[in-house]
Amino acid sequence: MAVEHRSGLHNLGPTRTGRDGGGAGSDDDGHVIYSVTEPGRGEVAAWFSTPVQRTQPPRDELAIKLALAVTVPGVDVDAVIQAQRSATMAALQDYTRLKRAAQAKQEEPAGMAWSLVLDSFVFAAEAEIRWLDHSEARLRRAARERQPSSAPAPASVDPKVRAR
Amino acid sequence: MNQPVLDLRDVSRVHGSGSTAVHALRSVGVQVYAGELVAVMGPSGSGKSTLLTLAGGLDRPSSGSVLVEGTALESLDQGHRARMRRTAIGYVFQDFNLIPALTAAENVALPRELDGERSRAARRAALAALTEVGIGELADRFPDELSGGQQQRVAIARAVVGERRLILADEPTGALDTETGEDILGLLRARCDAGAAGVLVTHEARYAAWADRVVFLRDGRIVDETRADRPDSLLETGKTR
Repeated sequence: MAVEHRSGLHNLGPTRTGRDGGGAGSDDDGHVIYSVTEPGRGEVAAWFSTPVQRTQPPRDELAIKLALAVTVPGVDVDAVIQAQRSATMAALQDYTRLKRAAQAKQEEPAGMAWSLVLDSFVFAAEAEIRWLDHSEARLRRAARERQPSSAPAPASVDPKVRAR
Repeated sequence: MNQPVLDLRDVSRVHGSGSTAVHALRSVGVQVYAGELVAVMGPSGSGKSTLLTLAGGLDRPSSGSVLVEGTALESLDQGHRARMRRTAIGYVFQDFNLIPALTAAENVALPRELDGERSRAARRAALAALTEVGIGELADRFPDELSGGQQQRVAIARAVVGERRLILADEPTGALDTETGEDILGLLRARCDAGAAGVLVTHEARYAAWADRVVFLRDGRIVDETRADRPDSLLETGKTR
């Protein structure tokens, strides 16, 4: 008996081979072969044409950790940020190596798909590092603004001799 | 391990003195070996461009030593330092720094001609370098007839011509779009894979990720350094970093 799944796939038992135009029900090794039904085709088409919903953001442990670090006394926030930046950069280096290795296979659909997935990882890691840089800059600016006004302001330094 | 191509030993650089002194670099040590690309990252004012300037012999450290292939740059007189810069060190800048009145080939050949090489041999070497970076057919164009990406390729050809072993790149992708920037990083990476030592200063993580090591600078100090593991098992289920 065929079982219809929500996705509209039929598990075609051997007895249904050739009926419904769904192709073979199993191969010589006994592996079950699935075939997309007409309602399933409709669902797939609807899935492709519908944007992925951005409802509630997923739990972001790093954002939670940094938020706690700036509020809990005694936490070295700079060290928290740098440790994460180094770890994320190491991952980004790995993704980049994988991407370079995948470039040779980009002409095949599967190779291109893998390369695009790696791009997604690269963009996510890059965004995380940019957010860490941004957070660090904001915290430093806030710390400077809390300092007494007698401290020498960076703007007084001759820009020609300031390190870039 | 072999001698590093670039060896910064306990290098500091202070501009000015007294209450207006600016500590651009503080006791920095970096070694870069043949075949290695090292990225230097940090915010504005962290000292990353100062590091590159010292590594290239364009400035002298206030203390410490900068060695290129075993030679301490500060021990050389101005003439010998200039010769070292022309023959052993190649620079790539964000704004290309090509001479507008010279063709691509002439720009690339110039350092060799300044070093006394005959024009014909220098042009031959320039054409080979331009071909290596994929724009041999554009050798007779002037910079304003080239796109930004093509101009940066000319600048890289100029940096590597004559088999220079140390390539210093200061934000080489800053004026380029993402895809062209990745092409440029690919060229630098290939040159390092072929045996050069490279230092890349950048504030963009996606380009730093092409390096073997990433050095993080803050307020003139190295605060961390990362070296990636081989990626073979990176995406295995359950693997954490």
